[in-house]
Amino acid sequence: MVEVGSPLLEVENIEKRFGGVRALRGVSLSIAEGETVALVGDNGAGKSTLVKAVAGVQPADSGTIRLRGREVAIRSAKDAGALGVEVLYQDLALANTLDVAANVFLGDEPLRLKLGWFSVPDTRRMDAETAATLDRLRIDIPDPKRPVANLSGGQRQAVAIGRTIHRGRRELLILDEPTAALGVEEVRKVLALIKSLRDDGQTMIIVSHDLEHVFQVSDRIAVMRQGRVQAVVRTGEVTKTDIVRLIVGDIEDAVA
Amino acid sequence: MNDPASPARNRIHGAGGAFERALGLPFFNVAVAIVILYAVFTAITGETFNTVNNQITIMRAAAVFLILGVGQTFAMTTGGIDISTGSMIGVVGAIVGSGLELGWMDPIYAIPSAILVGAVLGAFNGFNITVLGVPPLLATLGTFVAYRGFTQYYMGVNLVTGLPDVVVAVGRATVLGLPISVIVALAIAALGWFVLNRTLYGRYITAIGSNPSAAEATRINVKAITASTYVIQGALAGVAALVLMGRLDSASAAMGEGVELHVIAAVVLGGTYLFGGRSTMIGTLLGVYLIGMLENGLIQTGAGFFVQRIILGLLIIAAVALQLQQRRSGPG
Ligand SMILES: Nc1ncnc2c1ncn2[C@@H]1O[C@H](COP(=O)(O)OP(=O)(O)OP(=O)(O)O)[C@@H](O)[C@H]1O
Ligand SMILES: [Mg+2]
Repeated sequence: MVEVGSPLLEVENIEKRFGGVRALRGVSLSIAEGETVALVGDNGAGKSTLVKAVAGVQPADSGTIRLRGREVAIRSAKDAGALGVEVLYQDLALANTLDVAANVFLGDEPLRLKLGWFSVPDTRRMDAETAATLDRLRIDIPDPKRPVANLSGGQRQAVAIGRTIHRGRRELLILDEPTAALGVEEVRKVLALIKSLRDDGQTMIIVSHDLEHVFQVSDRIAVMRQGRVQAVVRTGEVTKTDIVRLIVGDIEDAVA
Repeated sequence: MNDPASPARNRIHGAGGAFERALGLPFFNVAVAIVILYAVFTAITGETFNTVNNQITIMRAAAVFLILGVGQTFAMTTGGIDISTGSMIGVVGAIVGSGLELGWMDPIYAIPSAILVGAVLGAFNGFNITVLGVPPLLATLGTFVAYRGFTQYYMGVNLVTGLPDVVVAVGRATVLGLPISVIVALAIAALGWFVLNRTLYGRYITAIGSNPSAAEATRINVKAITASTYVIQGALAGVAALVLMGRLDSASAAMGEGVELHVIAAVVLGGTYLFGGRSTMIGTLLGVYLIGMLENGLIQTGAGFFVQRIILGLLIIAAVALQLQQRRSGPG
């Protein structure tokens, strides 16, 4: 078990509506420093909505978010980035017509000449650091200079993961279904990467439907159902069957 | 669509021969079209087409389209379009022209005020598109009509004349045989190339056109950057208005009418994607030249204004159809 510190992220009573749909109905969750929490739940349970609320791309309607005990206002992706929250989105794909390095560094380029919007990015450094990040993921992309539209699904996911980890240790990494749509070999590489990040003490939230993966990498499991966190349990203290029953609602609230 | 094993595509982008690499360039088609048309017009007109003087005539006529093409390329890269350029030219001509004629304004302010008025007109487009969420085609269709209406209301049948020397010089003077308007247009195109290919701005507008939600999830300020492309297009319409006023030494309610057609045709023919995410400033330069050459050649071969319009309209359709075709078979 990884050593776990004081609360890093606390969300309290988060509400989010889409028209008539109450996607989040008072979600509360606390994540300790250095901890890896898996977020599970059926399709439509509200996992991605919670991720986007914390990431600022779809700010919550109400509720509070605290980082290291301090209340923070996350109204945009920019706010979240400045606080050290890095996110791999399930559905916000890449900029298809840009190359690998441009995608990895998008919005966060190292500069050769600083002139606001008209700054000149340091492409050589971007290429080198991208190559190093891809090496770390052990994923081979034959020609990273080509637009990412040409890449396979697994390679594209690797680029998206590269985006979230290239800056090294962050306050919080959120990975929304990092292993979805990947081949067996790619899944193995991504899980190995997650484990090594965890060993480095990186705090993470990982959304996944694959309980096998969840049990391999998480310290605790939060189960969401119909816009609520139904239960939070220690991974070592439950079985997959318990989790499945929590997901479908056979067992009511059990917070460990 | 993104099948990595598509062999033809791989070869084009891979380490293949120079010919194959050239095939992959976005402005390959337009370059081929220029070579063919050039040969055809030279053959038909018996050499009056293929003279230095005539080429300068083409460039002088095309300068305005190139200036506007740079802004149009930026807007189209984000997935937008601006069809109000001709009407913006009309408003700038009316306001700045009458300001100069009536002596409200010292001639030294002619250039900055034209750029400023144009930028304000473009900012209104940018506001409607990004803050109100009106689709670019309709937002600029609205100002296409409204700006022209304003110009006609303000000018009536009057003509602004007797413009100061600076303005006339922008339209008419030459340096070493090259018109100043052409030099200005080429300088703007070179700057546009640099901004598109070497700066964050070019990357960001490409990302926005390629996948707006991916851009939104980064620290890119999608709305501000998108709006700014229309401000730039407006400012460039101000410059274009100066060139036109200077060339005619006057401004009328009809000034700039129809230029948007030429500009959009040129940019799309040059290889910039009408759907955003992929663009080429060199293609725009070549597209502008192609359109200029086509008009010039058609006049010399005796085809009238209406025939030119028919061909221009059909060319836009052909260019877009070709892009759709390539999009279906190629990546992205
Ligand atoms: N942008 C949106 N507009 C309208 N409704 C939305 C939007 N995003 C999510 N929803 C709705 O909110 C609810 C929660 O969706 P969410 O994407 O968070 O589910 P999820 O738990 O991530 O599911 P999955 O496992 O399928 O990814 C669903 O009912 C969904 O239809
Ligand atoms: Mg989801």
